Amino acid sequence: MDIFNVPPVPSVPEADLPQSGGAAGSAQTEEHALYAEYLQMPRGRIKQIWAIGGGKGGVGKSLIASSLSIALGRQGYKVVTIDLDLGGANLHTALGIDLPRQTLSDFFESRVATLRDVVTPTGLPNLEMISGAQDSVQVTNLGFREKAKFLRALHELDADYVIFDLGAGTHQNTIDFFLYADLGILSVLPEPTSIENAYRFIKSVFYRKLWLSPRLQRARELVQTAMDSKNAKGIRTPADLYRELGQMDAEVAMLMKSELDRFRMKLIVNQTRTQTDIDIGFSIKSVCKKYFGIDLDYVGYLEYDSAVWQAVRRKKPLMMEFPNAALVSNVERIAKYLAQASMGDAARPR
Amino acid sequence: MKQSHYEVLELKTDATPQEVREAYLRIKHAFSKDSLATYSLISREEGEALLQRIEEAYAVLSHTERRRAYDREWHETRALGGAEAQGQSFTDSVAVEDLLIAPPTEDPFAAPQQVATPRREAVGMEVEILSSIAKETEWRGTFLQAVRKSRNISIEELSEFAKVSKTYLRAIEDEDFKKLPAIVFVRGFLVQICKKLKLPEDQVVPAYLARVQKAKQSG
Repeated sequence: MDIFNVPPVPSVPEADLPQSGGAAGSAQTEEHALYAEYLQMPRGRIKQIWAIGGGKGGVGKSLIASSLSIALGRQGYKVVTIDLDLGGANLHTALGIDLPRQTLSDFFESRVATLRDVVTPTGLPNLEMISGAQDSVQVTNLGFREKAKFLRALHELDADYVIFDLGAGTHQNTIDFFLYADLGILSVLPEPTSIENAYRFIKSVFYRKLWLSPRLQRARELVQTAMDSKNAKGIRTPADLYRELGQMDAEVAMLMKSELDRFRMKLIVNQTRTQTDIDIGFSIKSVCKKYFGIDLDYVGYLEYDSAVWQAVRRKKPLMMEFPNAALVSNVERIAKYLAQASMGDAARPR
Repeated sequence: MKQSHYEVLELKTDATPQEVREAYLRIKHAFSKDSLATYSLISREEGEALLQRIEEAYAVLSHTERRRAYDREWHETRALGGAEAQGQSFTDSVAVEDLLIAPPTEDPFAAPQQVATPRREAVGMEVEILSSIAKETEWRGTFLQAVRKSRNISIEELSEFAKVSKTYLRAIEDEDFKKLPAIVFVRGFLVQICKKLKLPEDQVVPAYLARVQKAKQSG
């Protein structure tokens, strides 16, 4: 059976939709409409959108985003990398350029006509960037309208790959940018704090994804219930949710499974010092499979390298400043692998 | 929905015994009590239940006869259109030797095209050894021998590395103290053995020598 051609499920009357207090009710349907619309949107030149997230700050998101962008550019793809760490934007520094004059703020506040107008060259081959908003717009106060405007404008970009560099935390906007990407890359350090935040992040993405999915409309209420970790139904884990769904509606349970199978998340373990650190990636993969039913693809690790902070101090991209660092070849390998993997994926619907 | 033993160990149904063992060690490591990978996500009870399932699956799949019976039963239940096969609950514990044999393979991470494929699970193995080593306090000859065998090191190889005759090495493993030379020499032998077997010499040497000393005094 082709899981991608499941007939649309009958829509639920407005009154049956979960109402989590006041105005949120209408916002939910808006979000769903946007998500459904986005899935149908033309993609323009873009082959894939990659998002780099990880929950915690300082786990190397900007380093990975900038390095992957540079590596893809070198491989001949046209890349636009977007700093979505709104309010804490510093991807430009990781790319070795000054704060661009035009940022996402200008786009959100309509001081420019199109998203293309805030694209800045980086001086690196095939690589352009869009700087994150400064001051006025934070990821926490980015409204639904701005988010929708941004997502609708993405296809205008003249790029093969668009890279999202996400901020720390699990704010809904950050989670959404991760979800709206074709490929979500998670960066984790081999440390309890980072792993804890990474799971919180995965969990948020997991439930948000199920909640947004147009095919799981009938399960929305139950997903909403499960999101509250102290819910009365006793749903504590994704496995509980799946079981509960199965009892309620076998078809929806099957759809959930197919949603999860399509949910491709990539894992990078950063700052590895020992083989044990490297192996944490395999352990996280096993745990995610058992706990969430998600197949995490462990795409590689980045060795701990003091060259990184030296490069940061010099405000130069690591890739350019230390072309021979082991870390650089790690990144290039991952970029190559992901680009190849995405070729295979390109034919598949999202 | 009960997972099949194969699902528990994330294996295909045609997995080789070697793959079964590697998967077992890897997954057991991932869900072990001190695993960083379950931190904050899985409660102690959940973790213990999972570990039990892992042991159960391994007890069946690592045993040729039981595995065959399990496969047969699984197919039969399938054919009858029944629910998923119920895994038999074999609770036999796994012999230490099973945990300690490291598969000799090279590191796939070295090759770019293998970046996403699971590497040999020797590290899971390493952790198994480490965990039993961590608990060890006696450092008896039999234990040293078990560690040596687990690391696939022959007595000849050890003899060549440590520059100690096989007779003395056997005497150390057999704890045949009468055959051993003066303590000062035995200390040197033990240090070399520890180096080769990657054991903590600061623990092994005093613990072992205490027994030698006692035997020499009473003998």
